Amino acid sequence: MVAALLLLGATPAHAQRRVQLDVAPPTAATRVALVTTTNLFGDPDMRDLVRSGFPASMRFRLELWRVGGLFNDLEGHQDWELIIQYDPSAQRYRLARRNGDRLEDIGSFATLSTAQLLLERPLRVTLLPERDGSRYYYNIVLNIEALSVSDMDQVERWLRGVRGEGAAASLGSGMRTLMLRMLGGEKRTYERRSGTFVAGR
Amino acid sequence: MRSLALALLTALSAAIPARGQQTSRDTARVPAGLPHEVALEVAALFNATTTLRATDRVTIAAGQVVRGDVAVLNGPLEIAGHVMGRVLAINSDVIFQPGARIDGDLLVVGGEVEGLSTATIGGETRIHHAPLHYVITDDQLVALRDDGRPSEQWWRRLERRQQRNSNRLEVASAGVYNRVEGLPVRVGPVLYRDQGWGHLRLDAFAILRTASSFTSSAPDVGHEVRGELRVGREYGATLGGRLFDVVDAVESWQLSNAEVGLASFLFHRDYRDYYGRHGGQLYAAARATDNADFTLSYGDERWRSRTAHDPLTLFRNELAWRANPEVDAGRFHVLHATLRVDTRNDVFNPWAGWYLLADFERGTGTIDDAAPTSPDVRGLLVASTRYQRGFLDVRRYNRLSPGTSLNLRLVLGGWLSGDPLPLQRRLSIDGPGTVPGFDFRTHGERDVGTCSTSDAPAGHPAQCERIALGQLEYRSDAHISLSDRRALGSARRTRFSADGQWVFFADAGRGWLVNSPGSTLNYARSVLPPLSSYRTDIGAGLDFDRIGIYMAKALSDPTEPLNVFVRVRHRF
Repeated sequence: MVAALLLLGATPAHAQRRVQLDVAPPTAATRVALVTTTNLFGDPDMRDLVRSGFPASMRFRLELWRVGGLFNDLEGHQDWELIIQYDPSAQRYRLARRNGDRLEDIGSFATLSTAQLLLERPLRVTLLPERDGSRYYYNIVLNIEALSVSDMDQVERWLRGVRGEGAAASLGSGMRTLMLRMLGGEKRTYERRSGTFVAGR
Repeated sequence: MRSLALALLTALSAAIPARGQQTSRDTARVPAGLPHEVALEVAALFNATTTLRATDRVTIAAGQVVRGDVAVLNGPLEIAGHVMGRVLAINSDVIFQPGARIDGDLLVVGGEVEGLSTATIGGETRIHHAPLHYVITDDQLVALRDDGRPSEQWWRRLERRQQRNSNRLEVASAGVYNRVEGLPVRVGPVLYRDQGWGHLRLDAFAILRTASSFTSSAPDVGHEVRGELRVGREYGATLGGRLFDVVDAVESWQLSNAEVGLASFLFHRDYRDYYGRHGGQLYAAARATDNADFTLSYGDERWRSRTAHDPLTLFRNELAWRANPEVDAGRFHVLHATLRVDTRNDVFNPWAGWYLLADFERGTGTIDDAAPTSPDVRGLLVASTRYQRGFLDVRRYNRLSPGTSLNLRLVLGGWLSGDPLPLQRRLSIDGPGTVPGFDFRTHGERDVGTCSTSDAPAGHPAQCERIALGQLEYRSDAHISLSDRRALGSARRTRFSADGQWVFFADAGRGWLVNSPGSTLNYARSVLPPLSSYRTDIGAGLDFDRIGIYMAKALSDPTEPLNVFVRVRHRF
């Protein structure tokens, strides 16, 4: 049972294509941090949810840490969010970006893959070190969450036979979903750190 | 692989023209249609703008100040100076130079924005890439309707859905799975109104308990009715009141709800004790950002014991549940003052910052039916009682290097002044949430975890009047990869791969009495027990973010066996 619980928290390597995050520190040429996301909709469960019409939120948090004497200091952070939802009337995926009070309607896409291609372009973030000569690193966290997935929504999905599974598989899937929801819901978290770099060089 | 896919796509498009056209259309990004409400808003703003309105290129140079609104049609608009009003760009790009400043909102329709990160925008920024269709009539801009476009901004719709700005019937769990209620389920209407300046909320729930509500001999249905007015969003105040008949935990600070619910439902092990609360409460809260708030509440409640039932569990269902301890039954007036400050960079996976929870409780009331305790744990009980109790939980998270951290936690709680605490307001240091090298509720003689002396009452309740707990843990990144050799050849195949953290920890804590001079667990009110009397342990584990598995060994009692346990999310 402990092993089963652990499997819920860990990710079998062969089961899914993981979201890849990368953050490149600023260089003399770029002057900004570059955040790259690959395979954003690679999680089959999340693709399934979005295709079924559930909106998904992708919250990014980029942190800039300064290497200190004893402890590392969090010098600053930037948060932004992407929201995607399938519009059944237009049969297109609509995508918006929110950055604090800033809202941007990015556009609509015929397929998730097309939206993913646009989102895989490096994003320029102006979260820059304040102290030249100090050592820094970035940490990027991405939380992907299907919004408004209530228990009733789950039941509705099973009844609609979204996965086209048999009763036993549905029961197994239901148990897993129940466990996942108790452990934190339909939410995936990804994290990545840059290498340490010296500011101003 | 991508090249192969592209080549295949190209070949398909050459061979089947009709399908090829479809593919080309499908891979294109299409600007979302401009919502008609936005088109009307844009037209009204443009026509109302008198300070600076233009239909060609506009440049606001560095040092230039525009004291009012700016509206530009077709543009582009280049800003290096200061606009003291709002900026509207229609079918126009906006280019910001470093130092540009807008005090009001920025609304861009049918254009792109360049250099936004170098500008200061005082208000909200909205960008629609879809162009505005319009005609100019009598120097007035008139938006044309396109019926194929959405009726409103879709993300606003989503936000409202998230904020649940609607009336609805809610069916949801009302607490954790436990041995007293089984699964408590709340059913009832929710009325919610987002007024812009805050919100109004009124809900009324019946609470059904799967373990007791459906037995014909003793129907057991609780309720919770709540009204709340909240003013402000990031900063602000909340006023509210509630009427309730609920089952509440005696101590909920040790383990999370998910952990208690899972342990009960899966393993037939409930780590909390419960009591019934029936009454009303008024509360007021001041909020300074999402990370700090101060709450005052006053309640008139009747407390009573609840018995354990026999809810279904997945494993070990044949075992008997631990009895739910009796509590002091009576009517109490309870005042709470609670301060919460949270500066952690991440609530679920903190690497830096502070977490502080400080609670002061003042209770007055009458005990009608006193619960049994261990001998010498409390003296002669008077019916009328008045007490003050405090609880402090302080945590500090420190990042030592990109992949390591050192975290500390201190918990102090218990009696401050007045009469001895009622049994349900007492505390313990026991089980996997505190000093996990010691097992839960298994110690008899002179137990510094629960303050039982010789005979513990049924269910082994928490009887300590004061507790102190210190926890320290060191975390370091770990990558676990399990692979095996393929049947053919020497290549290895990864079967399992996960990122986690090694955790090394040490804990020390105990509880004691202050109003029971006859007990060996009693200490004077102004002294702390000697550190040598504390329960101590060390341990290690692997934390995979959602789930962690740990081993702990008691140091202060070498006869204690090694404990293996699982925690959901981090230990603290």
